[in-house]
Amino acid sequence: MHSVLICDDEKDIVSALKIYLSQEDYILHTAYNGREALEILKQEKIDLLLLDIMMPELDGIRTMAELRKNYNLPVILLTAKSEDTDKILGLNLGADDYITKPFNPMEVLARVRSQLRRYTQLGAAVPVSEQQFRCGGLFLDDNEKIVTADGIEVSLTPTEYAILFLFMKNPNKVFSPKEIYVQIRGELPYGAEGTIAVHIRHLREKIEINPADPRYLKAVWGQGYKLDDSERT
Amino acid sequence: MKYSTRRKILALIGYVVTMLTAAAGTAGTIILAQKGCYTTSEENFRREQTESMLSRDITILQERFEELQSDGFFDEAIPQQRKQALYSDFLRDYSPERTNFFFEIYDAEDQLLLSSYQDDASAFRTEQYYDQVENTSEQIMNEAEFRQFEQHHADEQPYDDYSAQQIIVPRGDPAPTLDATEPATESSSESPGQILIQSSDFSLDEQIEIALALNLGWSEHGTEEIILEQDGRSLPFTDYIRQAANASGLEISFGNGRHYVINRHQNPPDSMLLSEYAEQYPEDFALPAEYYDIYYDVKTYSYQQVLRYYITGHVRSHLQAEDAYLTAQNYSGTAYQYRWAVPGVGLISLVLWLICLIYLIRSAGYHPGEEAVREGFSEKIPYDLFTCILFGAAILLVIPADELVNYSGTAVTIGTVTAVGILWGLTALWWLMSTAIRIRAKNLFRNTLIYKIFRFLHGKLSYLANALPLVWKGILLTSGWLVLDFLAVMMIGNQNYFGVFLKILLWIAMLCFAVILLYQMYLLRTGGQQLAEGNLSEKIPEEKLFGDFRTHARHLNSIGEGMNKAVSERLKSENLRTELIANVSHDIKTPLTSIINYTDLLSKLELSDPTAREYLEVLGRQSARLRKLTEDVIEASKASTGNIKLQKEDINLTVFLQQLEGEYSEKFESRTLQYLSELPDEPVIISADGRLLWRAFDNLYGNCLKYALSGTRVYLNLLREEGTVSVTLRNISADMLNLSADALMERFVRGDRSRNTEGSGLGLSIAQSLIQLQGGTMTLTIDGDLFKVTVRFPEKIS
Repeated sequence: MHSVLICDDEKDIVSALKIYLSQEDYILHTAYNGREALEILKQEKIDLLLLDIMMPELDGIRTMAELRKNYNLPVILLTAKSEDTDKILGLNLGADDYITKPFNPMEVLARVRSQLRRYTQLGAAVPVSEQQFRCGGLFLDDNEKIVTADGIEVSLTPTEYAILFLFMKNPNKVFSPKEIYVQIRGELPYGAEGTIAVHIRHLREKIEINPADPRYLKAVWGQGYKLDDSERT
Repeated sequence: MKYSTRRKILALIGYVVTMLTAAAGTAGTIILAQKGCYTTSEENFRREQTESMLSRDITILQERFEELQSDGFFDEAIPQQRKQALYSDFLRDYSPERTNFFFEIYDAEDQLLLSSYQDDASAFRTEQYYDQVENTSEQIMNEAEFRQFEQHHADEQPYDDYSAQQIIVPRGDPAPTLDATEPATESSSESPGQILIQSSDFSLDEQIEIALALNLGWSEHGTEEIILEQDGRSLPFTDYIRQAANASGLEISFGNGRHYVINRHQNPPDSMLLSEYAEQYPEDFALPAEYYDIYYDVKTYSYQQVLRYYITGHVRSHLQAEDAYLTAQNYSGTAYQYRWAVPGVGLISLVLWLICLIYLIRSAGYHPGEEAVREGFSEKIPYDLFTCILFGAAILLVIPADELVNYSGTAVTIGTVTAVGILWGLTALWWLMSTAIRIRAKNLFRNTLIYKIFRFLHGKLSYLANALPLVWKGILLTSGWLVLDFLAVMMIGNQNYFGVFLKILLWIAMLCFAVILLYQMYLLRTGGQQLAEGNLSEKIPEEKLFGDFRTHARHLNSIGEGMNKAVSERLKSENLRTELIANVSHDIKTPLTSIINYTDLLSKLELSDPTAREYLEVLGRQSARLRKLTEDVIEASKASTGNIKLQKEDINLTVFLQQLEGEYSEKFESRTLQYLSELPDEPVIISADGRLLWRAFDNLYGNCLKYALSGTRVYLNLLREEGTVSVTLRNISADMLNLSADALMERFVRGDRSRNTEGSGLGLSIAQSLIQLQGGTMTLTIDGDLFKVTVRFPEKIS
């Protein structure tokens, strides 16, 4: 049983989140500003914190800066600020994930699940043999031809597997569609590299929580794709 | 300060002293060089000096007599008074200071009429004549008066001591009567070129007298030679005379062919010939021995009835041992001895003088204990005026100095020249130092009369020029020019070459004027162009323009300023609006979250009433739309005001469009749209921000998905044409497009107003703003139901 602390000054949102999260069998705590959240963190054992940014008394950013002095629990920022600069600021200050309002409840559940799993189970797990690759919550074992996302096995087509294998071997490297094609097929595409983009999208749908805002397989527009291995934790 | 007053005074003294020594050294060197001091031996030099002195003296004497003759002094017709005046003039012009000679004129009665020997009583008398003639120039003395005057001074004639030494100058009265009265009767003159004198008829002394008398008329007779016969033997004149003279104890020597000098010992046994003496004691004499014959006085042999006047020129100092010539020669010897010292001293003095001068100029304006340059009283005077005064004074100084030099002795001359030199040197120094101070004070040109006058005129004229209207200025200038041009033409017509000069000047002036005018217009034009292109911060340089152009430029600049202000204010308000929209959107999002979440929660509950479920669906749909709307509003306001940071990089459009296709292919399929793309094989590179480009095309594709007619085809083309890349997306609109392309672009406008789908209607507007931000263009074309978007970017050539 994991314990999750929800912190938002909007009571309706807190109770809605409580309803959703209670489906997942968590111990739930609630706080309505940063100060309350810090109090509860002192008293209770908390595994994950859902934190709003714009709050009275002590806002989310400062709360996070404060708690990071003593705790390393995963923090997911939950905010109406949707600009890139806001996201980058939050992540740089120690947030593990970032969800913008209005949010999709299912996505929130998935992200919570993902963070908890990584925090509790996979965080310390160290790979492994030369045939095993890890990137964040993604794990690929080439011996057994198994791919797991946050510990859950994902079933991939051979092409998708080959593409992911290529990326896992070369994290953070940008591959153009043509290069990917050549790597997995061993021949020049002659105009067929357009199919790669479709495979990538399918792959995303299988391994990403929100395929429209991918965490692992990112598009570098006009150049190609890369597997983002910059640790969010 | 290092320039102490003591040092300055020392330098000043040094300046004056070295200036004098340098001048003396330089002049001395030049004179010595001219006299050949550096090229001949000492002996030669000494002899040449004395010889040249003597010959100069003789030449001067000769010239004077020739002048006198040419003035007709010896003409009988000229009255006595006139002669007096003439000779007075002659004496006045001929300063006795300048030679070792003096003159005397005797009349037929052997009376001394005139003498230039000032130390002499007769010279005094001459002066008196002179004064009298001068003073009574109006009433010329008549004969009686003159006699009376002469009588009056007759006793003052102490003329004895010079009798033995006189040079006869072979000039005299033309003696027209000589032929008639004298030898013509006695000589049997056969050939016209010869005059024969029979020695038997005359005693030797008489023969000599005759010869000499004849000789006096030498040139008039045109006789080549005079032959004297003795014992049937004819002798050349010169030889005969020599012999005759020798026999009677006379010494005859011959000059350069013009002078016949006959010497006689008055007392041969007692006195030695000076020439002999000179031979014995050459160290006492400057000239070779032959110069020192004692000159014979011809006066005693003169034919009184023939010579009305005769003139003798005397060597001023009696020729003697240790005379002026010897002194001159000794000086020459000394000069020769120190001939290298003179230029040496001159050179060293020159160097020292230069050092003093440089020190004085460098120290000018600095005073002990003061850092800054201080201007003295002379620097208050305008520079050009100062210069004129100094140089004018220096030039004016010459006039009294010249008077002094002309009518004074050597000592005064040297003193005057020295004084003038010192004054000039000091004047020049003053001027140089003042110039240096002015330059140091950066006041050289500002403190001049010309500058002040120019400024004064400039001020007045520019005021006048500004006050006049432009048309009048043009008329004035043109008519002035025309008048001058007319003048020039007239002058050229009159063969006046100043006209040509004026004409050229006018052309140059016109050219300059045209160039200046054109340049000013150019400046105004470029300034105006900058304004027109919206570069409001660019200013027209007013300081480069004149008069009305400047006024115009000022007006243009103030227009620019006003516009600039307006634009920046607008920009500020736009930024404010963007911020406002963003903040409001954030505030909307929080309640929206609750609405969406609780609608979702509600939909998961068991609801008995089917209508309730229907209502929930509406709630869900509308809240999703509201969410999209808030996000689009932020994006649109940011994109349209350019409030987004660009991170440009090289984008391969081919790859980009492939990626886009990958994202959208299934969405097209789900809408039964056939997506057909035509991309080149090679990379097409543009410079853009990949994420913004994605957002722009995301909007375009989204638009296409929403409004394309199901079952139709969507075409994508990528074309390269002359440095531009164009991407065209075409689709068939599902609904009739009852709006213009421009209206479609407008925010909150969609293809069909009545439609009520998801989307905010901001998509096209956002896409356009984003593409423009990255330096591209986006155009919409509507042709019936064909909806075409063209995006253009400049291709980046690597």
